[in-house]
Amino acid sequence: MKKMVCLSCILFLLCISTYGQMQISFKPIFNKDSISVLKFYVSNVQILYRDGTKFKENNSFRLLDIEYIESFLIILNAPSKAIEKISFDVGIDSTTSVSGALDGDLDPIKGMYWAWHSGYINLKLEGKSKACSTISNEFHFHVGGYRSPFYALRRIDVPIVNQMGSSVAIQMNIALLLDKINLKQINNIMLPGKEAMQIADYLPQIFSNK
Amino acid sequence: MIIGVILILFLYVFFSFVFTEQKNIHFHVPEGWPKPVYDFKQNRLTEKGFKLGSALFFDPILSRDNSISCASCHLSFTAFTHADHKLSHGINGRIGTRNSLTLINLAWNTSFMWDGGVNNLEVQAINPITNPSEMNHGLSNAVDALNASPRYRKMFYSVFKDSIITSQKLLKALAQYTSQLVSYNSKYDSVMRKEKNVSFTQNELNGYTLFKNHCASCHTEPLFTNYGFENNGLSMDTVLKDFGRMMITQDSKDAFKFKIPTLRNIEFSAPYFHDGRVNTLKDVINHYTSGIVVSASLSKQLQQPIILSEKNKKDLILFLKTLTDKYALYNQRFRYNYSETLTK
Repeated sequence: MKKMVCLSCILFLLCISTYGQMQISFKPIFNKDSISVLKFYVSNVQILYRDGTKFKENNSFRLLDIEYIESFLIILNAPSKAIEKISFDVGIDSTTSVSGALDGDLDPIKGMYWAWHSGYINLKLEGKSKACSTISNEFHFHVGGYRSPFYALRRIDVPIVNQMGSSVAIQMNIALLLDKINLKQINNIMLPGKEAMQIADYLPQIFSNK
Repeated sequence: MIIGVILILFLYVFFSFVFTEQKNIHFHVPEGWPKPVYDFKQNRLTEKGFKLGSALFFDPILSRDNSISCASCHLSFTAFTHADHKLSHGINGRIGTRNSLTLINLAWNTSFMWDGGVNNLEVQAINPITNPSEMNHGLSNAVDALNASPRYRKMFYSVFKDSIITSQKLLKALAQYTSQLVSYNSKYDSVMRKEKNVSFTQNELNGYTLFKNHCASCHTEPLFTNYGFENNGLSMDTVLKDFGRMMITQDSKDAFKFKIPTLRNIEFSAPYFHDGRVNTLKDVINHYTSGIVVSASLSKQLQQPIILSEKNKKDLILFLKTLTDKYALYNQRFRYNYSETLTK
């Protein structure tokens, strides 16, 4: 009897630990020479399954940094089933932005925080383009802001058409983003404002699952 | 069975008592004051936390070359500002662009800095640590310096039960100290509390009436600020070219607006205004009576000139001096070395 209890306990624990894992890998698309910095926050991931059920991760904030390519693979403790749609925020919401000193991926030492103008940088994108008539043709985009009317967080919905078992790839088309930006005129954003909002508005168009 | 349950409950109570031997400090809100804005639930105040914050506040370890501390520009005797300095200087004598603000009653502040750009007491301290004109230290370098100190590792362990120091722990510890720099024991407070044998003199009372008529709409009691931003008619300094609040909101309507500072302990917080351009309270009042520069964003409250006789100016200053809280300014608890008791 005791053995049976022990065994079922172990089995139960095993089930919990392996119960569903979904892997979402972000695949940035860009010309390798053109990008030197790509860092952005993916938060509040939600999965809508084809059977109508949902998986939601609240108050989760992940910093994806091209310097640490492993950060582009997100593992969720979510059931492995056919997915209809994956949704997430690029950036940090306003409530979290006013919550004082935070840690983990939200630690200000991660270089994604404005000190004199409190708030997170949702997306940092730096590189070179011939279209920029700047020093060494560089562009620097630090896109963020949580105060109205310059709230730069964007919700992204990606319909899933191509799923490999428990893993899904989401393409992030940086090349397309750079095409959309008029680099001749806009090549240096260091503050929340109209220009940051413009770039944020392009974000929903650059994520896809093909 | 029942005995087992009782035993488990007993052990639970016993161990939770052992592991939470750190007593929480109750944050006192003076009667009639609003609820503090700072969320103490996110940073439970403890005596050890306060002492750690105090040790950090006075320690130049947070600056790049170990030369200045928070207290360098925020001295308790001078209402936690930088006396005799219009603009404060950081490491290598570099001069900043604004007059250091008082650190009093910070738990009620809705924003920080003269332009209100900082939204929470905890993250305020990142600015002086990292600003090139102040401590010029990367936040991660400051955290590394603390992690390299066995003394600090021990102190952080005693507060957070974790000896690995992170920026979050550093900032929360500093907030334990700064949030408790409360001032509510001035003569004004005693009079308002109707304490025995304390009353305004005739001149102070006249000053108080003048204050209520001319100043209180912005410097609202009991904290002596409404936490808003106004353009108080100072001419723009052509070197500093400081647009104030506009730099944060990107709205031209906010040009030349600055945070309305508290007037508590104003007797000792000279020099005055965001760039410290005047040295005396008399000069401050003269600005409001005869120095206002009209511009598009000038405060509505200052559209009509304030007219005060010389006697009334003097009485107003006498009232402002009743906001001096010697108990807060000379409080041993707020001073250097108070933290030393922690390591003993």
